[in-house]
Amino acid sequence: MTVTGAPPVTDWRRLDRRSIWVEAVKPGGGLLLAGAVAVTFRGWDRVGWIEPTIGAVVVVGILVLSAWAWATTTYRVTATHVELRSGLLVRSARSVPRDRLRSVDLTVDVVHRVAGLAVVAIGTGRQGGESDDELKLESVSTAEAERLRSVLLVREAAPVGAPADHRAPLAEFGASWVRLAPLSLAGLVAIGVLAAALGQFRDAIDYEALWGSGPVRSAVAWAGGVAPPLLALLVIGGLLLLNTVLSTVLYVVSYGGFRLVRDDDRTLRLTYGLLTQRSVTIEEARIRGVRVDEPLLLRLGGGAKAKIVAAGLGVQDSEGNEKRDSDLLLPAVPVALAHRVTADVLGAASSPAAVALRRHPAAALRVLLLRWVPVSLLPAVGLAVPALLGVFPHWPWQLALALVPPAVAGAVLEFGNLGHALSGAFLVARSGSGVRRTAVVRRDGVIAWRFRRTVLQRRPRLLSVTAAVAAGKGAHTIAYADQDEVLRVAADAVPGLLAPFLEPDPAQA
Amino acid sequence: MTSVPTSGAPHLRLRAPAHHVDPRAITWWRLQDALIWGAVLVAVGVVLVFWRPGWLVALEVAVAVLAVVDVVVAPPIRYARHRWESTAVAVYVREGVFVEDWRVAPLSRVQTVDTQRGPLQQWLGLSTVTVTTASTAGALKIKGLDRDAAVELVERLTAATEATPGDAT
Repeated sequence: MTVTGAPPVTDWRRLDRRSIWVEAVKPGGGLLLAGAVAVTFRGWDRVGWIEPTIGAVVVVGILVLSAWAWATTTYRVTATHVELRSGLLVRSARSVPRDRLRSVDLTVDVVHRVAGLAVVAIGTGRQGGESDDELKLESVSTAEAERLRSVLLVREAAPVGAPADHRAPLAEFGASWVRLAPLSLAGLVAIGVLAAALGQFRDAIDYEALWGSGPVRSAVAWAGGVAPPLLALLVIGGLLLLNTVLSTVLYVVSYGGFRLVRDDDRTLRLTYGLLTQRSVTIEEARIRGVRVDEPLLLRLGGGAKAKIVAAGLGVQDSEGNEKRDSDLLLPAVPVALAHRVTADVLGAASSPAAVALRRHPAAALRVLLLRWVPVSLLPAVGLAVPALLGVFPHWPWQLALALVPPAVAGAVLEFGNLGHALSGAFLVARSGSGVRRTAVVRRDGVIAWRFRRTVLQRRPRLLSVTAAVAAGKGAHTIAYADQDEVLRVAADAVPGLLAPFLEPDPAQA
Repeated sequence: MTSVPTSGAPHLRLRAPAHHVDPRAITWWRLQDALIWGAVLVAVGVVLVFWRPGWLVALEVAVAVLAVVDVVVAPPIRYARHRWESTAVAVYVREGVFVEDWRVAPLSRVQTVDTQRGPLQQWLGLSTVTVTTASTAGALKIKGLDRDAAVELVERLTAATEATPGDAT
């Protein structure tokens, strides 16, 4: 692939000088917060000179390390490669061919925004092996980040006569989106995280004083006078209310200002976030499909999320952490919009994720029940054995039986979600129990087939088919489908590949 | 392009790939299983020298019986199930007894072809060939090929891979 576009830089550049301070702010801020919490709960009188001294030394240390990291990190963009040299003690040099670059991801959190900086992550899409996966520049000035974005993802001149108005957004944050925010449990998760964080400070908190304080005591006294079922209802209602408020706030803060546009240079660009601003640019040629996710609650409320299936997105970074949201296409939005954007991004007339899917045989429900129910029985069985031996009361295992109905419901839900179809240039596979996932992948993006069948699946002629795609997690499975039918679908999806390996099944003729 | 054999046959299945691996693979798997079981038996045996409750003796005997059955019975079945084939278009591998597994990868999407030889395999003159694609879900393994056959297969696959432009994604 020839590399054209803006003239490449060949000199080594440093990160922005301000990043020394910015990178030190976060650990330093954490330290300050810990100090503030300690002082709040323990009082000034119990703070000696040792803690502040240690704090000061650590702050100076962080600054020195940060400066050293800045001084030792350089990068450059040549005609063919992007190179990054870094490392405090162990020097590392990474060089990535530019025609391997798939995405450019700019992240600007509050601290960076104040400083006018951005973190640039350049996705290469290698998965597994030592050579993965992204080059991260922490951090460069916003102008430099924009320059890098335009230099790195422009390879060929746009075709002459391309539609002029390509910049009308495919999707834009709207008030109707916020309506769907409470249908997520993000708020409860946030409460859990907060509770865990408070638990971290338990040494610093004087629980006896807290317990003895006026508001807490009167609350406990009041709760003691309320009937237990009513109290449970109140607690659940309170949590739901809290979840509604928190989920909405989180949603607006995370995805406020969402905008999805198709740039002239055949890239998709997503920008979103009120506090931490994210801007992801993806080369469209690398997109292999879209996954539409519908968590149960959201689905009942008429909403859906969408993710991009593309090499270099939604995989692990070089430290093995899941890259957060880097494959996001749409947050929770009205389902009709999700389908329209899916169709737009894939260049299809209508969304392949919305076509009628072929259902899987009823025998699949039996297989699913056999997978869900025994697991749900395990706690009951484990508790029943000591009960029968007379060393443990009986009610716990009877209570544990309450896990069975949800397991049956899970199996039935999952069965209801199974389905697959061929739709034009796309293979559609749907699965999941609590979250219905509809994967739409380009047929020409399928790079290998994998077929699996357990002993249980043999007689009812069920077969699970996995289409390997060089993108995201790399596998999209059509689970427990009818063998004859799904083999035909797989053979049709990639013409000429599978047919030579199929034969009529004489035992069944 | 071969058409799907649909006419007159409502039921389809994946046919067995053309080739078995080398019969010495049975010996390889036997030795492998015997070593693992042997380690367990010896570990329990050492304990038995010092301490001999009835249930532990019973356990040792049960493990021994299981080990003998596994070493005698399992490898030939595994050999019968594990088959492979490489055409001008694709690589096709089947394996598995309780969980059957078939994999097909087009040569145009193959990224690397590797061989591995463990100590037992070296001694028996065997090789395992791994064919990888750009997805972790798409790797194929042919376990227990004759060493020379493996070299020849790798050369053929590598040549086919190099003949395909692009980065096979």
